[in-house]
Amino acid sequence: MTGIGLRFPHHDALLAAPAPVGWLEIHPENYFGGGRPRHCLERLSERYPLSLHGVGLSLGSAEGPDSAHLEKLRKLIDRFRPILVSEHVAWTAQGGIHLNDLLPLPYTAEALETLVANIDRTQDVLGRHILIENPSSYLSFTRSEMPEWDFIAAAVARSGCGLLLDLNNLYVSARNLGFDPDTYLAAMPGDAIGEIHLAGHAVRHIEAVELRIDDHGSAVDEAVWSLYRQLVRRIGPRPTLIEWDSRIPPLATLVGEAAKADAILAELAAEARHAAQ
Amino acid sequence: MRLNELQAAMRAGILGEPTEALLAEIDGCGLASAARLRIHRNNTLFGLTEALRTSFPAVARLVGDRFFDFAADRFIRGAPPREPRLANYGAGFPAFLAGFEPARTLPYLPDIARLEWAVNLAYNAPDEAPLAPAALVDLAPDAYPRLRLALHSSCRLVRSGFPIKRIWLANRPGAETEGTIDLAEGGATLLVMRREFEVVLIEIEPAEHDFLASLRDGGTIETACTCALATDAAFDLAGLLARQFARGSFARAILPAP
Repeated sequence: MTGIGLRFPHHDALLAAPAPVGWLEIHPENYFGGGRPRHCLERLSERYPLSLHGVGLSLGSAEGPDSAHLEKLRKLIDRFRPILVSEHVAWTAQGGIHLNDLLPLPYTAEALETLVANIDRTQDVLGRHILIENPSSYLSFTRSEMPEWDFIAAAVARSGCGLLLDLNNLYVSARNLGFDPDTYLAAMPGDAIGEIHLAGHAVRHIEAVELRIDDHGSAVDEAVWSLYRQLVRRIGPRPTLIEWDSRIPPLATLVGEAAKADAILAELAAEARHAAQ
Repeated sequence: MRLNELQAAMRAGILGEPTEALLAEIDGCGLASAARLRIHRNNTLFGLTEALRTSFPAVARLVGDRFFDFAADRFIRGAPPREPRLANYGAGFPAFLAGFEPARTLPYLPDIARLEWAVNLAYNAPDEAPLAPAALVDLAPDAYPRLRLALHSSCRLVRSGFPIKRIWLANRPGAETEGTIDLAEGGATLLVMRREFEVVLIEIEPAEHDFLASLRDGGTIETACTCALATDAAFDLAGLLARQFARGSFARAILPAP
């Protein structure tokens, strides 16, 4: 059953009545303190499986993840025993400054070394496997030595971590940087995919050039649903999650998006059974 | 550029202006490299501005969104976050506002910001069981002066020469704007703490403030009493301690070595 990203405005609704969602995914950074957020999480964790999806670890930083941050994450993992733990293929920190944006890496051998070393260290400290998520890209670097999909696949293969494939990000990157989403999708290692993210994005124009902005502020795009069908046909069902972070709608809207993913999974399962007969 | 150099250049180019060397690293892909980088600058500044707006809603309401965005932009570029948790970002914003020339016409604004930061810290403070009075029953009376009491992690003290509690209450999100508040009506001395899950603003006497501030700074009961008595010769220790235990203001007793 499809899960949803847990956001503060939905705490009360989820505590008041059970929602037909399979699991909840949190940004661990939002629950490092105490008080109401922590209390709500404690109660929700008794009713739903949890997944931890970090945004602040900065796996792509040359200086490596912050030890204090890793330690807080470890404590949260020890307390809540999440089904999945994930972070982004991106960097946010340099020189001790945290920029609060998932910034892109050059796809070079040096950056790959750094990313793999940081994943290794994270998995050692946390004592478990993590999934890494493909970014939504707005720029590429002239010194990149390989396409994004090869970089992601190599990081997964070399570190032994899993892959959280965000199909919205994949589509956004493809549109922004002018490559074919099917090529990217085909290069993703199916066995390593432990989770799929679905979300909405916005369309903007700069100097008449169309840009897709990954703002998680609307329903999932039809093109992204189509990639989802394509992927599930190839690799079978995976834990799927609906994310919505800006202009957050009522809980029912997220539940509706999750139901849509569930319907696709059911339809494709029936299709697969039929084909096997 | 090595990865660390590239990341340092991007950090500087996002918070300030990009160098030519950095722009040469970026493939414009149909756009100017600077326009590509600006997407990340906008994301960064927007996200951090929203984080500040969440922690300082009354300041934002008092100055209006455009002024708040302008002030936040200046603050963020000069003092970007030093840790990834957004709820912890903004400790320096009240001091920034105090020195921010365009905000000088609102002399109470930095104090409102200090109050909002205290509220934010109280709201997000780690969970901690309050100290029960029973913890002190075995303490010999002559050990009291050397006793230290650690304030509960959610407790903050805020003092201002302006009526900041009234201004704050009138400018909370969703608050109805009441009539006018006379800035000369008198200041406020407040203990800010979390009760259950809500943050409360408790008006306290100046002597009580000085007593708690002394304990907060690591003072013994004796030192704290000296501070309080200097402010109010009629200060009543027993009454004050009873009030604090009823509120749950303390987290730990640090007993003197025998």
